[in-house]
Amino acid sequence: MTHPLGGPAPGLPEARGGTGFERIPRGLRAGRQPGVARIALPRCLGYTDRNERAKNRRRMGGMRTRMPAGFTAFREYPMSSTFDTVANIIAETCDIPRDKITPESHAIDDLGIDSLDFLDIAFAIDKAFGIKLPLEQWTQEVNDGKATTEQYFVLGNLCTRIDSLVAAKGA
Amino acid sequence: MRLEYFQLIDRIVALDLDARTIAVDAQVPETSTIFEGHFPGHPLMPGVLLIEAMAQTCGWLLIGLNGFSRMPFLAAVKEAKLRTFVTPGQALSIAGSLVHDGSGFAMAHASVRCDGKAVCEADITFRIVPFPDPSFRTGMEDFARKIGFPLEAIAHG
Repeated sequence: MTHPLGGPAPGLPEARGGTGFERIPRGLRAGRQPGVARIALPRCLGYTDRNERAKNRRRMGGMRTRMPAGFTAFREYPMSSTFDTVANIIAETCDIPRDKITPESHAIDDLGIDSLDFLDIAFAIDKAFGIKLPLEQWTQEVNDGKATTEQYFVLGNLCTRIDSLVAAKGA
Repeated sequence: MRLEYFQLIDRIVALDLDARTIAVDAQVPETSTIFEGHFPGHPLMPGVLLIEAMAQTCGWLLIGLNGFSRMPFLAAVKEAKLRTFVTPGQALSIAGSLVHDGSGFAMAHASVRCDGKAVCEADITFRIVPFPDPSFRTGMEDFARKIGFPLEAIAHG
């Protein structure tokens, strides 16, 4: 995974010289890879084993998606991909530790991102997803009391809106 | 240039709204009170004013792109490099281009050359907001005429 502004995203395998897509040796899988934070999720939260993933691929017409090595064991939700990209942008742009950035984080209240730094984030998001975040419209809605900042600046909500904008672009 | 009045560009020589680029000329004055202090006996065009000149150049590009409907204000300067000294009387050519047109903001790149030689460059961020009042916009339009802004090419918003 490469950061949209250039260079590998910190903490991901290619930041240490790999491509991010190489096969992980068995002994390094599932959380044993140094420098990559892994959380073992139970099946009910989305964990799938190799057989299930192969079955899913067959069901989806043989489509095979290649994910960075650190993410191969997880079901590939579009949302998680969007969140990872956004979180990496925020981590790099604002020098915030990646592990402090969660879908529940409020960009302003929790992460302390000010409006000027958010312009850099918006720039990177616009570029990464080929969209234009409607910041002026959002700001107007918040100022008019028609929306709360949580609806736009809690990262999970932001990612949902990004996904909608990407979908609208492709429609 | 009239440094004391922060008029840092003299003439718009090219404005291409399709390519989103602009080119302007700027003549550094022979004399200015600013040179008395910067520096005594060794007059130099201050680097911060070169950056301002680049910002004004890109600002006119953005005003052209939005048809005088809103005003860009300088918000951030990145990767500013001041490569050579600029002295009184030198003629500068400034080029600006839009890098990203965001919602309420824009990213631009500008560079300055003198006698074909690179002088300085910067990446510049602008916030773009409605004009604070109608007279502000009128004042900008008046100044635009003085510097050869191609008003006829702009569809007023």
